[in-house]
Amino acid sequence: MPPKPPKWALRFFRWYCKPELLPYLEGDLLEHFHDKTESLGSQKARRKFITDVIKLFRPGIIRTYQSSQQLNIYTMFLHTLTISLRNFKRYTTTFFINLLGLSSGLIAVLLIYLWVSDELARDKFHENGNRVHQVLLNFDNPDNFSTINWTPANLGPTAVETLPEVSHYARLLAFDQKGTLSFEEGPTFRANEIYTDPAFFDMFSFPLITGSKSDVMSNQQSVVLSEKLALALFENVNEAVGKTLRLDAEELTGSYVVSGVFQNPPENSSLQFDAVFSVELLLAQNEQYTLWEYNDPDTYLMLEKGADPDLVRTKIEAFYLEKPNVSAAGIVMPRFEDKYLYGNYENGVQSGGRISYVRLFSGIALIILLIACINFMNLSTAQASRRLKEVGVKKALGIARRGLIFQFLTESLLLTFIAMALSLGLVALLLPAFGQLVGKSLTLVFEADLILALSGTLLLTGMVAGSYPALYLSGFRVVQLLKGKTKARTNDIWVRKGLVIFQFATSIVLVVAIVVVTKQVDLIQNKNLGYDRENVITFPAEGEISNKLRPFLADLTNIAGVSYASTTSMDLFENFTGTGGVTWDGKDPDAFIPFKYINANYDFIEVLDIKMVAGRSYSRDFPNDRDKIIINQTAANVMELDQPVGSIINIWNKNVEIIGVVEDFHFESLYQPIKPMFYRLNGGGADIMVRLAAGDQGEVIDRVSDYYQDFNNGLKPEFKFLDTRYQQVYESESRVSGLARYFAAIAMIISCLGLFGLATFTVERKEKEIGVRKVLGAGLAGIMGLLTREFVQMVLIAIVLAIPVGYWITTDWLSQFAYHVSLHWWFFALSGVATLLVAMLTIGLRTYRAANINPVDCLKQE
Amino acid sequence: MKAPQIGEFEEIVMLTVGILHGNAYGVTIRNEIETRLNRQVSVGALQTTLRRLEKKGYLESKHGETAANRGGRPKLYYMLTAQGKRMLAQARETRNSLWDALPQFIINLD
Repeated sequence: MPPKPPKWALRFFRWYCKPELLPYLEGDLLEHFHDKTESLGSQKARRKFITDVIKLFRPGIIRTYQSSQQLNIYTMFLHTLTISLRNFKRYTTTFFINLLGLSSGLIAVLLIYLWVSDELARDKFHENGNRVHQVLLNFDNPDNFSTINWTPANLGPTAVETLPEVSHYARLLAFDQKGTLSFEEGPTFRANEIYTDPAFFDMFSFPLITGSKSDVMSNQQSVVLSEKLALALFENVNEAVGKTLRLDAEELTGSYVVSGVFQNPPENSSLQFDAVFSVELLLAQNEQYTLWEYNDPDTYLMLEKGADPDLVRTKIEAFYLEKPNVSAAGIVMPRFEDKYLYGNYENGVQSGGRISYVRLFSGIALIILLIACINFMNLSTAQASRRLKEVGVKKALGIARRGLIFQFLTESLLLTFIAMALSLGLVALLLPAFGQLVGKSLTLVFEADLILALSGTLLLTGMVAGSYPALYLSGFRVVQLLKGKTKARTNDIWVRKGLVIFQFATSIVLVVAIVVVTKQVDLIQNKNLGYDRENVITFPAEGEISNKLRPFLADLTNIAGVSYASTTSMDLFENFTGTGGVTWDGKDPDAFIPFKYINANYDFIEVLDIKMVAGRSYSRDFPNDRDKIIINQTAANVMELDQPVGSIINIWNKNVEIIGVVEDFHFESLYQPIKPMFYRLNGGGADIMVRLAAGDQGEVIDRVSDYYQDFNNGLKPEFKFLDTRYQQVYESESRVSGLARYFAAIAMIISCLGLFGLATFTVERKEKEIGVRKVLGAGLAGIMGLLTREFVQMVLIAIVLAIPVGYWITTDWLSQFAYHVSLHWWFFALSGVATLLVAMLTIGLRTYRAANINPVDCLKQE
Repeated sequence: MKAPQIGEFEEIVMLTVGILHGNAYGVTIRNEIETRLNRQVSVGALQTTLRRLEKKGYLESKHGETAANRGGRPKLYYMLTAQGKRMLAQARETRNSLWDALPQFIINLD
């Protein structure tokens, strides 16, 4: 048997070669192959054949697009475009309704896409990101299982020493209370510092402007600055290097030489800092850091390429648990870059986090897009009667069904394309407002990712929206079409009804959700917390203030307009420290009752305007108040003391007297119920709270600010209002409620457009019937009732289906709050009735016109 | 209008077609150039050049006989047209005149 050239190459050649050249060139190729087989052997000849085929693949030999039957498709395509555009022009209302529906859907999708991709990109810019892991410790507490980022300082170095798979470690310490930096006699700036190991810049991609990654942190007496801070302190970046700065922080003071400058951490980085110091400085200060039971710094590890993180985790856990006195029961080691989206732990296992919002909104985007597609389907089938003659003539002339499907898909793609262009323009306009709503600065940049997503959405939307009309319209029989007989099949009616019911059910669920979310957000924002959060400013005790707290506070209260000032050790909205070490007479010795506590200064109760139930507040008039405590009502109830004030209880093996009971106030977040707590008098505290007298506060704040800057060598204060801070705690709830409102509105608009389309469809089919009825004396109300009944039925079915779903979803969401609104029946009734009204209004708009038709107009033609 | 010109490879192809006189088709042209000039010829370049020359009117083609080792496909024979021959002559003349103008010592030095 003679050797043969590779089949696929020959087939490829036949596919691309110009038909008029094909026989000659194929002959030449085969002859050449034959010659070469004889002279070089079949192996080489085959290879040569393949290169020949590839070399022939060039213009002049490749068949042109317009040749033979392709010419026809091209003309058909142009024809389809013309017909589509003419249709858009002729039925302007339908066109605009379709356009509006699709573009509102696409706007929602695009906005959500931008938000989601921004969320997904966070912390993903680190080159070695897939190899950097953070070590977290799992604690098996009696009351709950917790996962905490504090680790022993020895963990990182030991891991690198003992495990070949771990190449670098970086321990990281950062404190809420920031230090300050100054150069010679110049002004003071907030350092926003972190303390870490030399490998930090190798592991995380924060590029250095000056200095090299390997030695920028080799000297412990050096500091690396951000570009921003370097430019605040010096004229330009290069001038900063080599200068000696003075650091003033609670933990550390001294002089440090600038060894390098790094680019400001990008906005999508979770790590935000302006100065980097050696962590060894802090570790050397305190011997406890050498102990395995003392957990403080974060530990980040970088693994060797190809190392299995699970295996490394097991090994680290094994050696960790062998160390003396360790406090944790196990470790977990998530990737650093996953921390942002998957930050929650439940019983020591990763349990989601922000990813749930990402999923929620992606889901909403898909549903809205689907509703918009359904809308287009309904309107296109409603339009069908107008297109039947066209389809009939085309079919009679011999168009294949495929051709018709192609035509209608092209039409829907064209419409989607126009809608996409429109929505891109609107998104560009809406983006700043949307960014504010979600608290991000989003931008519309046409990069490969976005273009790919856009074309994907375009194709998907066009195909989904166009598929049903294309199949529906192309499926009619020619004879029926031309005779004008088009009895809709019962199947089609059910499909359409089902689609409308689905649309409305989804919209109603969204409406129920906004009613509930809005109620809950209102509840949170207006909740009586048991203290007055208005007119209170807070700021950290920084720089000089932390050293001279008492004189600072004393003079602060003398400023006109300042009522009270105090300090606390705890942020009111974050988790308080807890303790099990409280005992009292009559306590069940086996019971574990955790108490929360707060260390605060004089006037804490007065600053927050908390009501006293019994006893008195701390006062400078009583010398021994430091040994006494004040408890809240829940604590009094838990302890079941007859007369709490004056009772002696035992805290950390020390007897203390209760001097007062305060009314319960909400500390921590509203996700938690109020717990028993006590308040201890303590002169220190990291946060300063100041109550301002009601009235013109601008001037008072200016005076406080001047006083602060005088005291603190020009450091700019960062004042925050307590009520603003409170709102920030529930930011994500406010955002969800804001967004849900917009998206529910969009879904509702699109659904109503769909209903309008369907009403049009029915009215057109029943035109003659309406005419006959009017001639026979039917009234306006009767005809409107006839036309409306069917739709009202559909919306009612949708309501019945949607309410249980809405109930289930909202109950689930509310259950995470310890304090939440109770679901009233009228939330659901309101949503249902509102939807029904909007729907009836929409249908009424169309049927009223139809019922007023002059019977002559619709009956004169037959 | 600029006087028509042909490129070096085009000239070689046309000359080869002339040499093969009546037996010039894809395979023979390629083999002839490869053996005579000792250089590799890419089929793609050869075939596009042939099409181009035919389009310019320097070559004409004729449907020929088939052969077993061609899988039953016919040959496409190429021949020089009168215009093609004139073009070749003109190209040679241009070159000769340039050679004549070249001072003798340049060549000798080389």
